[in-house]
Amino acid sequence: MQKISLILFFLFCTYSIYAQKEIKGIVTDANTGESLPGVSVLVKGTTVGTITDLNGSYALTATENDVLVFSFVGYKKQEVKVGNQETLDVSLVVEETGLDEIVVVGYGTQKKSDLTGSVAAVDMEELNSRQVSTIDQALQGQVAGVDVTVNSGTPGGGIMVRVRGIGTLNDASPLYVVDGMMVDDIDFVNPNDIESMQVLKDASATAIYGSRGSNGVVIITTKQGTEKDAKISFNSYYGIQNFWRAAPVANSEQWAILNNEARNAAGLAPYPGLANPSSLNYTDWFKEISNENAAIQSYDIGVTGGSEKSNYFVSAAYLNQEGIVQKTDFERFSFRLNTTHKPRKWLTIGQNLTLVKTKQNSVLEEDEWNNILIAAMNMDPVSPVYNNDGTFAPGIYNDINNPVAQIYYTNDTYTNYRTLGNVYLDFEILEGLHFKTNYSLEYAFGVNDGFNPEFYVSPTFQNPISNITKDNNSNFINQWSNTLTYVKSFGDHNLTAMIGQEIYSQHYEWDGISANGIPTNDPNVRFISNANGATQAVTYGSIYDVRQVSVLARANYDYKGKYLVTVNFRADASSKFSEKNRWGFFPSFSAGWRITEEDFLSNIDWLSNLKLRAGWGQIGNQGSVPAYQNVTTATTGQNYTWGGQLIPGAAFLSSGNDEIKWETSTTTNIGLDFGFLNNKLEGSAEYFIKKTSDMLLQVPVPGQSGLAEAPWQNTGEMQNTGFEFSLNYRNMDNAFRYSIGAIFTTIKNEVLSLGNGNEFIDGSPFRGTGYLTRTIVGQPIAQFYGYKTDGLFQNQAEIDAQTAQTGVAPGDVRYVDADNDGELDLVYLGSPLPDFTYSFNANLSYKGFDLNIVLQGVHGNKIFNGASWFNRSSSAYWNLNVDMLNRWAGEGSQTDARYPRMNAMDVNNSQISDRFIEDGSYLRIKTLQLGYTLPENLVKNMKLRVYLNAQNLFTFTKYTGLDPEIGNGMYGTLDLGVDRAFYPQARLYSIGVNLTF
Amino acid sequence: MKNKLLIILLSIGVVFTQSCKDYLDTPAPDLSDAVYFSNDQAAITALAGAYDPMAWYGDMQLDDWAIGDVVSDDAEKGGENEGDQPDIQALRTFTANAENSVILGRWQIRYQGINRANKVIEGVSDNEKISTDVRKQVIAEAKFLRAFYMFELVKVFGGVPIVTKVLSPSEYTAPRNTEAECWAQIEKDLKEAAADLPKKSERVANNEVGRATWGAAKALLTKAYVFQKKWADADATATEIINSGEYQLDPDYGHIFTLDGDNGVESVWDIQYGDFNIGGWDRDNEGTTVCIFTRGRDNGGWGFVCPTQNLYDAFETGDPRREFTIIKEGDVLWAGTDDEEEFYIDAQNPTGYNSRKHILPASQQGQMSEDPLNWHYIRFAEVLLWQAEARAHNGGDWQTPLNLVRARVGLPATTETDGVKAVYHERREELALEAHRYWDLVRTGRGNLMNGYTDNKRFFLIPQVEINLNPNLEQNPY
Repeated sequence: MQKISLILFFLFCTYSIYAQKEIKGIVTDANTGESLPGVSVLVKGTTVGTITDLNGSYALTATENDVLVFSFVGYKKQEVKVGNQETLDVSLVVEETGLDEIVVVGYGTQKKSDLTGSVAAVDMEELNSRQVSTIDQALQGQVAGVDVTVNSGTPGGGIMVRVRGIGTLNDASPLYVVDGMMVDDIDFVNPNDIESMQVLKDASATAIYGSRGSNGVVIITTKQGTEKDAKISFNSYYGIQNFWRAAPVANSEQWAILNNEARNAAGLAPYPGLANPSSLNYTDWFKEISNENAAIQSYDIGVTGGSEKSNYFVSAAYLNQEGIVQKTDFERFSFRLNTTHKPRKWLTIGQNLTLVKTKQNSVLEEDEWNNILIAAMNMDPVSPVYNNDGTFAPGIYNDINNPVAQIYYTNDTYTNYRTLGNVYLDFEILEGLHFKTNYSLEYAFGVNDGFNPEFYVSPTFQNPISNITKDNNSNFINQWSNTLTYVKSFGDHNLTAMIGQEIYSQHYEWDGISANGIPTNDPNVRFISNANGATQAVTYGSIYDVRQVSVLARANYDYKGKYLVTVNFRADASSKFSEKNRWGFFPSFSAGWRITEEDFLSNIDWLSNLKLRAGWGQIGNQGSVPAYQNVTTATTGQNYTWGGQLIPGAAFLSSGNDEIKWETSTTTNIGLDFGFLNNKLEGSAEYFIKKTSDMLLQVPVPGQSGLAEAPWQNTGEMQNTGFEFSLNYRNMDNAFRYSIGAIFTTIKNEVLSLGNGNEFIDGSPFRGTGYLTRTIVGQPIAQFYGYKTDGLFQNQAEIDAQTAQTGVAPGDVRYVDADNDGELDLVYLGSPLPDFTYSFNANLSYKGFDLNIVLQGVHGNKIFNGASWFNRSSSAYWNLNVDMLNRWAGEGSQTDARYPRMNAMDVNNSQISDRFIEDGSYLRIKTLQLGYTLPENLVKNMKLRVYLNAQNLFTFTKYTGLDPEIGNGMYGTLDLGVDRAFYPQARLYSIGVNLTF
Repeated sequence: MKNKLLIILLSIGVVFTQSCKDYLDTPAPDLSDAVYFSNDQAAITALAGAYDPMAWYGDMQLDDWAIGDVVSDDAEKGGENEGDQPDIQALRTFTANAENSVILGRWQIRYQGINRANKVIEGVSDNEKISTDVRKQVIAEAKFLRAFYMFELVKVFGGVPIVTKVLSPSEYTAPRNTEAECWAQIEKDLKEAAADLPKKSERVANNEVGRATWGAAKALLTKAYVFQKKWADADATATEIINSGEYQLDPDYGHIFTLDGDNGVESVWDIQYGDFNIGGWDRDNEGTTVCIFTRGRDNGGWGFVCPTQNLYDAFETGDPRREFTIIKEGDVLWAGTDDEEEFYIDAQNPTGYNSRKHILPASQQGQMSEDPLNWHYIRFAEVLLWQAEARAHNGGDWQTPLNLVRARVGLPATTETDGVKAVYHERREELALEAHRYWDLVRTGRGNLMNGYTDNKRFFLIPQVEINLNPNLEQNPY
């Protein structure tokens, strides 16, 4: 740092040779008159400059012809010619709004005020203060209509992003575009490298992405260099993470009492070992698998700089996160180099390059059979972790795999190497006519290393022969886009027209080996070659290719910035479809009216902005269809045994359909943007109808077809109607500055058709007992389906009064026989989709202090609490939720169907029913951050901010599982709202520093 | 400079346009059905694929014992508790609904097998690229497989849609054929198959054990006749098999249910399982889950198929077959070997007994579900008992075949004078826990021996999802 200061000092001296006079002055706030310390004062076109001191004064030397540039974060930049003055006092005006903000809209940019479609920009300033480890988390609670749910809290775990609800039964993830390149995820982006982030929501905005834009588009632009002196920024934080809530399971005494009761009720002798509940060994399994105070640390350094001809942005970052469950962690190294060059006035060339390595260790999650958290919640609390000889002990009273041993024997590492980059050229052929070509590529290589050592814990939990697996995958994507853009104003008429063309190809390749018999468990010899069974290894591998050719065009026209029209068109041809259905055409139209530009509103002071927008468009979706579905292909591995030998077999599992084409969604969008009180209060409201038709579905075909996999067909319709509202109030006028925002989204989903004769589709299988959700025409997707409870039978008379349930006793759950036909009826038990989602955020600052709060909430959804199926079981076979101490224990003692009597041989109470379905609403304090920026006189020439941060500090919910924030399950889009004891999100406390100089 | 750049860009554009003509034609990395059947090896590989579903979890491995034994009076379900595999329990109590997953697997897997057989038949028929010999062989085996899958459908559901070719989507919704039409199709396929299939001895000589044989086709045909009460035909085909000299009774009854007994002298049709160190569950490997399902819970298994006291008591005094069928608390198996193991009855066990016929000693077990023990679908003893049963109904010497079966385990000739009764008795003891009991009871009109059975439960419900997808299917009364 000192060296850099010296260099800077030297540079100043060098320039001062040419100085002719000294200029002094004070910089103040135009509104309050208070002096502004830390304002940058620069001689335009040079690197000569200074910063105002604590009193707002500055002094530098300049010539008469120089222009001084005064800039300060949050204020409008001001340029003043020196002339003959020697004292230059300047007052800066607060930058009111982002109305003139430039927004990236795909193959170009637009002024925010000219937008006609539904485009939302993420507030980067706020995002930067949120301290997130991956960028998709940063989207959470930021944009109306964008729901981000963490699928798993495991470090590096998946995220589910939905723009305007679930638009299709297929993959409903949005398209991500990073620096012009279409990518499937944004895990690789270092959050601190992001310059801007936009979400395109409606068809008129996303149509420029044609067949890939139907689920919304998230556009990310990474930081570019500046025409200024090098600026170095350094960000770092260190934190600790813990479970925000412990598993609510019983201790050994409580469980033993209930287990004895259950066995007595079933006429079985209680286990002799549990005869004295108060003197039992107690293992808190949940604690045993937890990694208390799991560390997270992040370091990031970035440098921007450049001159008029060339500039650059370089960054390096490292993140290391331990998980709150033992043996889970995530590590990411990332490097970025972005440069821009202007070799000629009419030519700009540039490149962006990022290299990322991630490494993730994980343990078994998601499934409800053996997942570590389920095991820890289900294992009987009496069994010890270890035998006396130090080996792992098996469960005494149930055959759950000892979760500590399971973690110990799990060795599952995924390492991913990714290179993404693009080079581009912008050529101004004539004034206003630009040709831009952009070539992007991604090369990713992933390898999954697994090792399952030889071990023995019990007859049902052992591995007699060690096994090693290695799965490799590589992904190679090329994308080349060329656009020609013409910008021209004819008096009051402004026109921007763009035509373009693009090709895209993806080549994906995978192979793997699994071999048995590594002679030792030594971690240094875990290689295939050391396996005794290397020559009998199981191997597999194949490829797929997806290609696309596109033509696109867009025209924006406005009259006096008052009446705005946008027309988009894109045509895509995809290799996934047969030649006759290859091309899809996706048009959209939208218009805007900036009412405040009309004369009749010019006198209304309090109204600063009012714009009405409307749009219509059609876009496609092909993402969910795997390649080659138009032909019937053989699948190998359908083997059989002849003569004691493994005979390779093959079969045609499905039937190709060469009729398949894009699914199409048609969106109509109406929006109103408004700003009041000099845009201090601004917001927007939007209403949309999005209808997806020709939905690509693997519609089940009758079993007699003999097809193991249903062929893809275009059938089925779904509709989402929604309302989005966002509001922001900011006041930057005084020393106490603040900005408060709220967003609100409600979406109604309805399945209009599932294709011919297809009345419903079941989703979410659960532990071999059936399906939890059913998607039926006329209802929202994935409704819970099962029995409805009606309290508990209190006495024999109540049992005798009905015929639908047999073999029950008082204290058992009573189910509803809705049609009174003497048989129980499966009914719909609620929706995993919320009625509405909302979030609040606030940024407050006073002098050097700042406070940032983000609250995020979901309301009205239901969750199937998978863990409670075990932990509220009457059988007491598994460990129990402590609230089962409230079980029915005699007439009138309990009426809530969640807490029936104990009975070791129970069948009645474990039926899939609303007993296990809970209100999933929650409100979570995602972020609470308090920062302090040191005064400039303490640390010269640099901005130093330190902060304390808490994530997931409080969660307000009635849900009793580990975490109400659950995303997609393991069984696809229809596996919604089923909590199989997902890895919950951690509560994080951290301390961090942001340094810029 | 500007113009030069323009020219370069334009020429790149022209070159690019020329080279991207075939850009969108990406050939599939897998073989399509249009080119698949191009040589003998491909035909054999597709044929092996048609055998494959027989060995799936949902086939012999689960629902045959789930129905054949557990639904009958021979066994209780067992498992972790009553709620473990609730769909099997629902079948057992005759309260299953049409959404039962066991029944669904029954329907779908059989039709997948049929489709694979049909695909092979269509792929090789009149295909010049495949040698005449292989064509004949493959078609004969595929017809046998088609009949096998069909038999397993008819047994459970009665008349079902007959599918003898690869269907196009408009043909997916054909209605049910009558049971008689189905039997006729099964008989036709088996007769045609038997004409071209080699004998078991040839299979053994060629190291092809596990592929269909003349004897297997004839035996399945006999079984079809027995189910139809075509006693004269059953007697005739059983006699053909017996006289062929291809099969004998294994002198050691217990040996049949060991790994060494697989494909033994008595085996007429074994579903093949093998341990190839693949690991995993279910269809990941070529092993069977029956071993781990039926092994007692206190001995590392899941404790399903718990023999009833009723079955235990049905054995004649001194019948050694009981100890090879039923495990009691404290039984010691494989005594004197490294595998010696004492068996315990777990606290959850509903009957106090475990099943004995499908477990392997520790040294022969595979990982997870990769146990290599075959499923004996037709044993020669059953062929003898069919002959006896046919003759008991039709007149003729039923005593000789029946007493052969008894003599093998050291039992004296039967003293029973009612041939039908004698056969019923002998079948239960000889074939216990081999998934025959339920079908024996219902095909002989003795379903009333099972609690909850009524005659309308003869056939199981057609899966509701199938009826939804094909409204032309008429549901069974149940």
